[in-house]
Amino acid sequence: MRKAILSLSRIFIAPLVVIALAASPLIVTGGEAGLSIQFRPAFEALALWFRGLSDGSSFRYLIGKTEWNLVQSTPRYFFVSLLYLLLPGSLGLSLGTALGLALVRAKSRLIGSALNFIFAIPEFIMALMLQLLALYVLDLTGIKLASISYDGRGHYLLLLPFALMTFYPFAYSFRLASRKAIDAADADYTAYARSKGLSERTIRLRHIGAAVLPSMRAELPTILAIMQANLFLCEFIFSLPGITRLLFTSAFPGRLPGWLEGYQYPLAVWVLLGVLALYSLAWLFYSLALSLTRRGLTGES
Amino acid sequence: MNPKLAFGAALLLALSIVALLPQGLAPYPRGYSDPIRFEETAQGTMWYYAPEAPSPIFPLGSDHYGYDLLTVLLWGLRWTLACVSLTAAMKTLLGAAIGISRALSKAGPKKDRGFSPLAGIPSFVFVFFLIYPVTINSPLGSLRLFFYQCAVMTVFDLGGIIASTAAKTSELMGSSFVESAISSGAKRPWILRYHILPFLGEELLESFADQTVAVLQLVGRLGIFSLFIGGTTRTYDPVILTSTTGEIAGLIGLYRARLLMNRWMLFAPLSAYLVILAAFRSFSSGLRQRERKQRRVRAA
Repeated sequence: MRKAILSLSRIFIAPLVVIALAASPLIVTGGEAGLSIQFRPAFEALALWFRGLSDGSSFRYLIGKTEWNLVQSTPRYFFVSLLYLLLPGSLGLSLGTALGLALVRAKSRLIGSALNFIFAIPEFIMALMLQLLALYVLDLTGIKLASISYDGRGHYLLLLPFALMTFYPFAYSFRLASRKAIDAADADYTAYARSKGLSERTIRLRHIGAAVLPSMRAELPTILAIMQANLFLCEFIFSLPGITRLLFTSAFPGRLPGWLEGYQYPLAVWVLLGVLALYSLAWLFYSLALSLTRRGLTGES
Repeated sequence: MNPKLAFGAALLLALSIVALLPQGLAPYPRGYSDPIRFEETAQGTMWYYAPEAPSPIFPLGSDHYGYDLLTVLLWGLRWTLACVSLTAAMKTLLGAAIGISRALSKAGPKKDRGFSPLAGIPSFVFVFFLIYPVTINSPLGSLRLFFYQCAVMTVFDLGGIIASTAAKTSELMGSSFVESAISSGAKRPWILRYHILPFLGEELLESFADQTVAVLQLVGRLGIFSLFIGGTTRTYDPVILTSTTGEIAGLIGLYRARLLMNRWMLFAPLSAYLVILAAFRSFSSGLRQRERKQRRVRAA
């Protein structure tokens, strides 16, 4: 009950934090005398945003000199981000868990070491290395392995960002599953199941696998946090038309002069609220998927 | 000392020496650029335009403004190492202080309290929002901006250090020699100074090593979004964002667009970044290995 109340309070506090975070570039400014804190521009932006909710101005934003409507354009961006959060993550978690359970100790240690090594490389480095690899293969052999970025004409699902988004949940779930499999393999209930004549496959699925899934559920916030961070980098590096990319290419004008006048507070708020919604939907999806999988494996309700 | 720890420590020492004495190793003075040059050869006058591929003249190549990449990297290394070391040290100290006070106040470890949507916003996004207003064409100057950026990066992602320090402190508070000190009338400051802190040294060193890797990753991520340590310089004609200090992780973000041609401009900072990452990781991993071995010896 206490947990549920705390979760609900966090759900209400999160949008307020996001609204404050989006206002922070208007609060902190730098001058010759050093940093200065001014709340007035932030309060004005906030007031304009609230007023704009009724007259619709808070739902309009600029990309360059073209005005767009959030209600019309955002669903597509949101869908692309959700696609990259759910599909690769599902594949990564399933493969990682299955492989972690299936491999015997020596093999799983070997693969675990290799995965640890690759896991240690930051995702933006991996993204650049994948792009370089695709280009080198193209230069040397003329074979196009994969597109290095989205070009507005093809499908949203590109191989390189998909592979990158799959890898980290795969590595994480593999390490977790193989560790739990080693612990569960020596457990009393496993020995009892063996003594009853159950096959190794059944034991791995119904006993060890079912024991792994609650741990996966407990680690879900960490796995999702890694995936969300990867999503920001992937959308930017591979130019994917996702919602997080709007933050750095439109809300913050980046290369355009007059950056402070160009900062779009309403867009920043909506993007961050969208990111909260993405995380919440992904959390619901994976929680449900893990719960249904466990139910399917054990037959328990 | 295990091989990983020895390798990591040696590499870090070498990098530190290079960072302290770039003028002795750089082939060109700082700020020197040669966008157009010529050579008299048997075939006649040969003209060379920036960016130039790696050659005996420019060992790692030059960028599109004629700056020697090796010189840029050598001078930028000090900013990278200073930022990573300072931020990791501050995070370790701050996290340890909070962890110790939590353990001493017997607050207990934080249990899983359910779903939190804010976990969906990565910490580098928070850092981005806070440093963006003062990083581009910063009026603060590189050094003041550097300290501000380090301070902002310090306050995020402290959960791991707090939890590990709190756990270790609680373990020590439950040990017999501490109980004996308490029953003899020792006050909390005494116990903290003579019974807790001396035993936390190894834990804090490990946390520091782990944090160096995390901070290096954070700096690299910010560089991808053109926020560089020490400042981003925006020119207006043409509109270009460049790093004020030449900090290495930022150079990766800067030269990221060099995928299709002049790839040496990306290779150089990418390789340098991976060397620095390998050094910190090896050091961190070696420390953890040593601690595990010492724990096994103590348990035996």
